[in-house]
Amino acid sequence: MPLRNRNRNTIPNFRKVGGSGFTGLLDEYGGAAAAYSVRRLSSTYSGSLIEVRRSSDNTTQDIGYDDNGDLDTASLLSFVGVGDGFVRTWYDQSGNANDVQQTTTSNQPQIVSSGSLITKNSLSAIDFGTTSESLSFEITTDDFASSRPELYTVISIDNHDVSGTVYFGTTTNGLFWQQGPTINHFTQGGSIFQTEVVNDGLLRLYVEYPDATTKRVDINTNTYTSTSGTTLTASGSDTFVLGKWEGGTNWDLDGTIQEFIIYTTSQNRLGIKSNINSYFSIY
Amino acid sequence: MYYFGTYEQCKAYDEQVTQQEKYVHNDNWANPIEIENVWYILKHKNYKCNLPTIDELPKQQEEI
Repeated sequence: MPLRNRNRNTIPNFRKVGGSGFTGLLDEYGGAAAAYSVRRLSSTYSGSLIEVRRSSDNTTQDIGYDDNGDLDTASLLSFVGVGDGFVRTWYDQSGNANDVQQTTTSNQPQIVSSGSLITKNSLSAIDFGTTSESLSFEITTDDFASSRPELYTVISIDNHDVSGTVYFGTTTNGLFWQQGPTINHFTQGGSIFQTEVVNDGLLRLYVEYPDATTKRVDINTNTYTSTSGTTLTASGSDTFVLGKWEGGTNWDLDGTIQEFIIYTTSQNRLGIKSNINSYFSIY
Repeated sequence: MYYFGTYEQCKAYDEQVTQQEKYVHNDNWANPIEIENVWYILKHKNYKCNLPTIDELPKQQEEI
């Protein structure tokens, strides 16, 4: 079953896999601290993209990419069968081994439902559901040496939780990123007012790039800034969680994530955004 | 749907499900959640216990 109806070879910044011919986002924009996706991101990465648990017998299997660099959905659907498939591990393609994982099965986000692939814009999507689904990893301050991370997230939000939507936070050291029901956006302790309603299930590209004085977020082509709030920084070894905030029970992401990349320094945002948008057809 | 009771009761239910489901890598079913001094655990569709149930967790506005 074809998952997309367009010719991959016509997409900029993406070339057919085949030995030295492949160029991924991280080949052009390297230095990521962590990078997760439903596509291959680097010619030097040859590992799997995700580890999946199937509901039929709870066994797991690593799923890689196909000849186009897309998630190998044929292998995924063959393994899962007519049941459900859940993401146990989302492998880090940056080379830093910051794999995100969920070992509590009821909290594992879903990628196959009743034998059918979960998709957004015709591409595989990891669904974080309506309760406590999340993936987490432990990092040290070395991973965020600048304490000014730059984040790229391909995300859709269906509904806000009672208190808001946190799609990336820490367990104990406060919140790094959230989208709240009052349409305020919080970035490293700074509150950014923005007027977009984002809990409509549509795919968006969030780019967070605060500096010492200004909190900034791009939502697709719109930029929002604020100088309010105290800038939080990573401190010591901490556990970062994708899909919820561990500090409360009413901050879960009800939506999907397809790509999540962390840099620790300022990047060519236009170039990276163009690459991501070309692949996911977001705006 | 969730069961609720003491932490020990909720943890025992998790261990029951985990053992029966034979998860790999020492994974478990669910973690007990505490809300206002009451412990809750997600019900697995295939396993019952004698604890009382509630459809959804109590929801309240939280501050970060």
